[in-house]
Amino acid sequence: MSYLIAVATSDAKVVDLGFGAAKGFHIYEVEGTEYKEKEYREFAEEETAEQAAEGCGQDGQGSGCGGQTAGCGGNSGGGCGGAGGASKKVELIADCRSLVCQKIGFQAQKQLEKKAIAGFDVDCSVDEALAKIAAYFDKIDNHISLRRE
Amino acid sequence: MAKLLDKQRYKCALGAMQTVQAIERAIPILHSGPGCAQKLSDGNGSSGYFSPNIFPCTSINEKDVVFGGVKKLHSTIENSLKVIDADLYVVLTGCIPEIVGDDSGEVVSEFADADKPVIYAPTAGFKGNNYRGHEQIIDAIIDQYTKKTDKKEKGLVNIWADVPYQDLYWLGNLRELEKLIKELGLTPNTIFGYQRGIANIDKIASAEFNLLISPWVSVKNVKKMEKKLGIPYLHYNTLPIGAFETSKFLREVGKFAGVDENKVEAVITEHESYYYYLIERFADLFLENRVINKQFSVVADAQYALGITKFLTNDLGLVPAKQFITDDTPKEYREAITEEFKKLNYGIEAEVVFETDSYKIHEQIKSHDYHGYPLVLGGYYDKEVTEDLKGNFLNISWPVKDKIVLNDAIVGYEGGIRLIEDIYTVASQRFN
Repeated sequence: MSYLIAVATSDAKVVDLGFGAAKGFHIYEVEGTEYKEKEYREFAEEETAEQAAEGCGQDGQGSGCGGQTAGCGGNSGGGCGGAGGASKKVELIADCRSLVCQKIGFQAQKQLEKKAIAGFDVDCSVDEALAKIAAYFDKIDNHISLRRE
Repeated sequence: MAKLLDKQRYKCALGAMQTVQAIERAIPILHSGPGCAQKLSDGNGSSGYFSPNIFPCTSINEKDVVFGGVKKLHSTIENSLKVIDADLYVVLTGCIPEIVGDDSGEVVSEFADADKPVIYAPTAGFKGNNYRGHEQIIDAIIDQYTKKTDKKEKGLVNIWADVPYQDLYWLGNLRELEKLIKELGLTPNTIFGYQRGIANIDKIASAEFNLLISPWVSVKNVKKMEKKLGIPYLHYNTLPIGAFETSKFLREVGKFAGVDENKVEAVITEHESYYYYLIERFADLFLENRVINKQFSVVADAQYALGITKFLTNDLGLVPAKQFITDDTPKEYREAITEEFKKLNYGIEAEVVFETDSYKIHEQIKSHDYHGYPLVLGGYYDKEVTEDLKGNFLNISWPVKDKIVLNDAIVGYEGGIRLIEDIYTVASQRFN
């Protein structure tokens, strides 16, 4: 059965964006070990801006507290547990099995785990990441040992 | 069908980080999932300069399974060298990196030029238990650190015996064995415990011979050292406890090392007279057959099962019931060990079972006729079943919850006396 992988990339070649910095995700459809790009999903910015204003103020473009990365801000968690922005973004890719990006913050990782999305923060090309992840899931799904030859 | 193993008495091979910990100022670096050092948290006596809770670990996760964990291993070693002041860094790999094929050896070899030695031991759990892991660590030291030398130090003997921490008496036993070897005029060399460490590892290669006291653990190691370092070995398969075995042991070591026979006999005589003086004073207690049980079972690794069975039979005159060896002894050694149990004094032979499943051990203890209350020397798991049978129980093997041992020993003449004290303390408590 096919599944989706979301990738945070600016050029669809290299995984070069952090989860927070990504303005959208390239969605790939994977079948077995084959994959192809399905669509690009853009993240609606205004929602985040609203949240940031309610939370820690400022315009919040990646300033640590608040902002669209939802590092420390948001109105949902209270204290430092701001899952707000992250959870909106996670919602956007909730139908994906995995997320590939350059960096994932602690909160975002937790939100992904709640949705059973496997988050991978890697430093490589999109092709390498997709090939490895597809091979991994293929083995898991077919109960094949992960032992490398 | 999947099999269930009830209350096994060992850890996975990665548990051999305890062997590293026993080497002063040596630190294990774990290439494993987070929590793999947790298995050591139940033990006593493992705090100190380094303790399991601070062992550096790559804490690998799903990402490292998919993309490989070698980068993480590299940075973990690199930073360990920066922030941890140790003499020897030993990388141990767990199951996950071994299955997915991380080339840990390759990563470690990149640190060949580091100021401090970094070595690597594959200790994946599926390769065996921590007895095998212990062998892997010593193998790693011999293969990757020790260098052959033609300069031999006269009378220098490497002693290999117990598996540190797995054996609660490891420290005391090693020190006691050192003492005995010293009395023969030889110079003992061990690498575990207080003020041994890297300086003694450096001396390994210049020893005249290796003395291995164990039924099977480390046989591979001394063979390797014979091949690689040209060090001959004496394999003495019974841990000498009490006068009979210890005297036999000293004679054999003396003969192998070419020590003057009169000197050996003088050492033996001195020890034996004191030993039997003590026994004599308590002979009335020992002969009072209401106090002690008629038959006993030892539930322990091969080392203690054999050593204690010989001691209780030869020195104390008790009758062995079934003995249980719980260390998953490799098949190739089992026959020889079984034979050893037949070489008891007074023509007595003991039946021995190699069994790792505590449920099956307990069933056999329950169904055996001990001709009265049993005496069971074993792990904490055996306490309840012994109490159900109204027997006497002494905790001498892992897991240990009933006893705190700092530097006590059960080896040698002294050790035999200690063990008698412990057994009769338990036995006499019942009458008070």
